[in-house]
Amino acid sequence: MVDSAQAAPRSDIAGGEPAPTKSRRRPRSRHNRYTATPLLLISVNLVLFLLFFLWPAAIGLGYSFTSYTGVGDAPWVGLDNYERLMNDSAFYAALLRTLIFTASVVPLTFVASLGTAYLLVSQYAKGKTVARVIFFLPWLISPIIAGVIWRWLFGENFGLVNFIIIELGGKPLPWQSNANLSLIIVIIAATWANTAANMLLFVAALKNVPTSYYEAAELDGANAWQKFRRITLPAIAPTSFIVLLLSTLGNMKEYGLVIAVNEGGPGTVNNLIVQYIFQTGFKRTQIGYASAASFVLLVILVAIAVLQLLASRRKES
Amino acid sequence: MAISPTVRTGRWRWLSAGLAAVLTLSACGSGSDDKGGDSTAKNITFWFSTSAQDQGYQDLAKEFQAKEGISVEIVNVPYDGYQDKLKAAAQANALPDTASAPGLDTLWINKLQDLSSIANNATNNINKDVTIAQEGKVLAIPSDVTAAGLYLNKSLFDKAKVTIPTDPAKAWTWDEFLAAADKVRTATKAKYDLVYDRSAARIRPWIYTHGGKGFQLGDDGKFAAPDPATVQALTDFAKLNNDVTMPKSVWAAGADPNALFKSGQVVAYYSGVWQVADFAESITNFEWVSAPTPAQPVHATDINLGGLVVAFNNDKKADAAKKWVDFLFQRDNYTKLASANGYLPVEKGLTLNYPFKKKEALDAFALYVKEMELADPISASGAANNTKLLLAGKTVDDGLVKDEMGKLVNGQQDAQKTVDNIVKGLNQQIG
Repeated sequence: MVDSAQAAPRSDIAGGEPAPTKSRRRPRSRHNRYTATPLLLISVNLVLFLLFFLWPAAIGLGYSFTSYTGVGDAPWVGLDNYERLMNDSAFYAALLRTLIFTASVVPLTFVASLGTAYLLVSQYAKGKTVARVIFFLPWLISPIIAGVIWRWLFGENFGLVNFIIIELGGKPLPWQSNANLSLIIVIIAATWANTAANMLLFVAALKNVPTSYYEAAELDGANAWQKFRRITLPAIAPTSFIVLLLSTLGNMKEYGLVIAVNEGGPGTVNNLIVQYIFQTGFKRTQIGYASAASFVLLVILVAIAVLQLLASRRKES
Repeated sequence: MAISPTVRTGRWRWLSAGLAAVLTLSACGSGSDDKGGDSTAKNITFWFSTSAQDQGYQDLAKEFQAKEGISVEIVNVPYDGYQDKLKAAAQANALPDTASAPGLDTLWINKLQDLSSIANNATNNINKDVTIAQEGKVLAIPSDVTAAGLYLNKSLFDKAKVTIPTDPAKAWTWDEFLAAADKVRTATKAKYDLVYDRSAARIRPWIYTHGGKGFQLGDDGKFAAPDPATVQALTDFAKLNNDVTMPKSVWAAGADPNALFKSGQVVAYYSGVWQVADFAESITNFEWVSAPTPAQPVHATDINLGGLVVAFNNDKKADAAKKWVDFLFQRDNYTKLASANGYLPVEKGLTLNYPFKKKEALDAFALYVKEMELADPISASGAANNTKLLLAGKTVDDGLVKDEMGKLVNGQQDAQKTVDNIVKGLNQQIG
């Protein structure tokens, strides 16, 4: 399985050279047959994509060059919004906080989901089915509910954790009104919520690693760490890449969970970028300015995705 | 891949059949509107929205029919989408004859009848600060008002043997109240003196009672820079968020003050009058009581509007519509309506018998009615500013007050910077 999965792209690249020359020599009719039918088949999707994604995005891009407030005219202001954005400390603060958040959650999620998945496929583990259901539960909960649960646990005033700390004779911690502590809570909550789905991906990938590799390694006297490092990790590399990419993009756009845990507080210290965009766009009705911020976010996300793609390509080749 | 002619005609036939059906249905719909007859309409419609009591309107409709011979069809519209429904009705020229609307709309504001004869009727004694008037015409009269209100954990006060004032005229000052709450907290080992709703509406009475004017519209139609008393009041407010007097988490990080008060570990809660119904139901582990809002030295609260009662100018039915609105606000009728629906009245000096079973709830309403009559006129200025902006075709979301206050409480900026940011943010929306 793994071999074929890894071999496929390689053979593509290797055999990629002659293909274009072949198709150039093909008659036109063939070109038509293979264009019309696929186009027809994807047309519904294409229409939906154009109507509900590309068109609004184009409108949003248009608005980002105006000082539109949501009603009335949208006066053209050129690059003014982007210039203001470059000098907006609140925007940079939100962006920095988002980067810290993502840089913390992604590795934690990766380790937690791979760890649980590894335990779940281990032949020594007992009660795997029950454990899998329990580990999967957080995925079934909406981010808002997850946020509320964590807010109850780490409530500053009457939360469970502070209650336990007091019962044990300690001093309660300001989980909500201290900027760093409250970000840590959101990071833990996000990791908890994101682990489940990624764990499933890893379980599938781990099960597909041929046992013969491990048996061969054992015969050669490899220990558990060496097997994990030299066999498991390379074998599940495509899955790891997907997990990293999706988690990064997802966490850069986190909104619901933060709102539910502490509303981006204390104050506005932990406002993440999407919350910042929402506040400027809808609470302060600066749609134009918020659209500009959205496009900067889009560019950042595309850049991240491209960088990760390039990195994984280089690794594969 | 072209559609064959037969298919095409088939589709068109279906389309035209559907169109015919829709037209027939809509013809039925408008047909019922015209049944009223020549100059004296026999039936009118009244739209309103409630998730609770509508008995007050039903009873009055029966009496109205007996007296005037005009039947009123009362339609309870779901609150979500009510405003949009009115918009659509205005565009389709199918507005109801009367309504209690969630807000006015520039789309249909020119179709409203002048209610000044009702609003200015001396016997009705309607609070002029809350009616919506434009160029001498009264466009809407609120069916009721809401206000801010202070709730105390009576069990804790009893335990600490601290007395609570009952007459709004002899209310505490904020200093006296906080001293009393401190005493109760230490005597009963409660956790906090006070929790305070985090909203723009709730911070207004704090400013007003401290003698500040808050955020008011200037002559140019934009928000003016507030007076120094406002800045001082906000500075003092931020200082109370010290995790002893008030938990910092509410205004800095969005903790739920309602839940904190219900824990029984907080001495007092400053919120709105609508909490009465909830508390009467859900607080069972301690006794609670409503107390007058402290005055330092100004007696004030934040008065907001319930449904806006309007009469539309629907040709033949206009007179009947206005008659119904007039009937609603006649002193005796309005007393019945407010009692049955649990309204804080817009008419002054009424004796109301609310249908609550709990004594705390009845006392609370009696107190709020008295408190509003005593309150400084500035108490209604928040709602009045919104109305003014609305009549000028602007809508302003004051949610940013919450954020800027959060920054102040969190120590990210001082009070002066906070009010500057609020004024700037509000004016940006006005454009």
